[in-house]
Amino acid sequence: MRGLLYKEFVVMKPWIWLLLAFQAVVTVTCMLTGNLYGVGEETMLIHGMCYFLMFFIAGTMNAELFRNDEKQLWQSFVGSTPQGFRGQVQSKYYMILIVNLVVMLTCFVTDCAVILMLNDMGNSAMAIIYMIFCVMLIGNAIELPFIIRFGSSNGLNIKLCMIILVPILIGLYVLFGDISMFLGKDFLEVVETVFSTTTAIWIQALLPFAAMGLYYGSYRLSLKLYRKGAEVDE
Amino acid sequence: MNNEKKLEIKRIVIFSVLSVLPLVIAAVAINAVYGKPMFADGGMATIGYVVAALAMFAPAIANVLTRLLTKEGFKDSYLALNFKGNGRYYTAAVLVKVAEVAALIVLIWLVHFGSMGFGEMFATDYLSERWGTFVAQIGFSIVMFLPAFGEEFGWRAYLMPKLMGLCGKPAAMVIGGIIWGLWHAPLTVCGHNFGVDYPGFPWLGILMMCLMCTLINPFFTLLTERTKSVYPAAFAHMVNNNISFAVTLSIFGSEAVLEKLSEMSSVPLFWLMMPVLFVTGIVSFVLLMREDKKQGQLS
Repeated sequence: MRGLLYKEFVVMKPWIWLLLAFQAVVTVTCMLTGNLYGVGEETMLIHGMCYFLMFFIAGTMNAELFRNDEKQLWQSFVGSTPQGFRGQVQSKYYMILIVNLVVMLTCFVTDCAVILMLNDMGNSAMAIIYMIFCVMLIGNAIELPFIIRFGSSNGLNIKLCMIILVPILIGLYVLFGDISMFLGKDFLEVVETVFSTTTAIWIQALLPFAAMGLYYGSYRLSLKLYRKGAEVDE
Repeated sequence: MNNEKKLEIKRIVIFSVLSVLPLVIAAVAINAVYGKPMFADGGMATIGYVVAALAMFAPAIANVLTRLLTKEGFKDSYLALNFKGNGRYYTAAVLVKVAEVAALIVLIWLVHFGSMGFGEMFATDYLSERWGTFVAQIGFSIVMFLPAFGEEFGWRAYLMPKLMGLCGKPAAMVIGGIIWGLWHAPLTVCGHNFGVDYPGFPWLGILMMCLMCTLINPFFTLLTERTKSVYPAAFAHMVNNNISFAVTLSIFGSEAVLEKLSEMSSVPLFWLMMPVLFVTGIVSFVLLMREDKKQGQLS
């Protein structure tokens, strides 16, 4: 397993450097906006968006991670190693988890720097980082079996469909759902209203458990799909 | 003493110095700049939080640096998940800590709130929201385990195996707990955990931290040794830090209890924690020793 993970790190090195460079940009942006807007919800919103971008860019690595290994020759080779197909799939899931954890760590350090600069603990975006991490883990759990079964390019299309689906669902709710509690409120107040309902509190409470369960379930499913995917690539 | 033993002791010394050094430098520098301890009042709470959070990564960095400096390599790093067959240890990591808090709340009621009924300690409104917040706090502790991983990767994945190899499990539990407790000393001197206005400050605080760490050490070591993985201990550590009785009572407690708690000193509350930690520590230690006995019988 260590060897397969090492191989992933070597192959993905340019992406990891890119990610770290982007993190530097995010850190500078967060410090500047923190300095500009000071303590407040606007600052937290901007920082939340910056952190989301970080995780999103980490997520774009997924397809690339698989693209390198879609050649039939590699798949035959990895099947003959002691780790076999299981090790191959496991290393991908580990790699994606490690990258997301590293992004969470760098966002955590940035958050520490920002609250230190603003000298206000209330401005910590840790809860936002934690929520984004869980949502991204769920996104990865859904996306990875598709990539494994249908190949990286088709998997990417499915991911795009998933991304488009979210605003469509929100749009449908705005058109046909009950929005009386949001009327006359600005965007930040709407966010606050949504997150303070009992249902939202329980969603936040169960989100990490759902994310971990789905990620593990996704791994089990991918193990079953891997060989079928290999046949498609032929 | 053979060369291998000497080298192991050298590694432990290098690791311990590298672990504590950043914290000492930060505490001294902040004291010099601001002229008062970090946790002396609420005005410096942010600096205190950031220093304490980032300092938790020092043992992990010390682990890596010691391995590089002494050319030890990264064998037995305890970084694998090893989830298969060890799910009960992962579950126990969270549930034992939650059970400890529940037991402590009962103890607090018996000693300090005996005049009121047990049910009166808790708020009766917004129960769904309160439980949601509590579960969210547990989930948050598990997902945001990285700071605790920073400590555990140093203490349980590096220091404890070395100490157990050198002086056996019973002595290693005590020595490891004391080293871990002393590592907290710069923070304790700055008022972390117990404040600055208790009798015997700061020496009593340092002693109390050593005692607490010695009692917690067997449980975390048990989790790490049984799973050969650092993660269950990291989850337990984060739950231990985030789901304290104070946090739990701030979620579920009635106003009368919260008011009374805010007036109490942290030192008597600390001593109430000891019987609970003692029970967990002894049970974990017995389980650890039983493993030795089994191996002895097999060989």
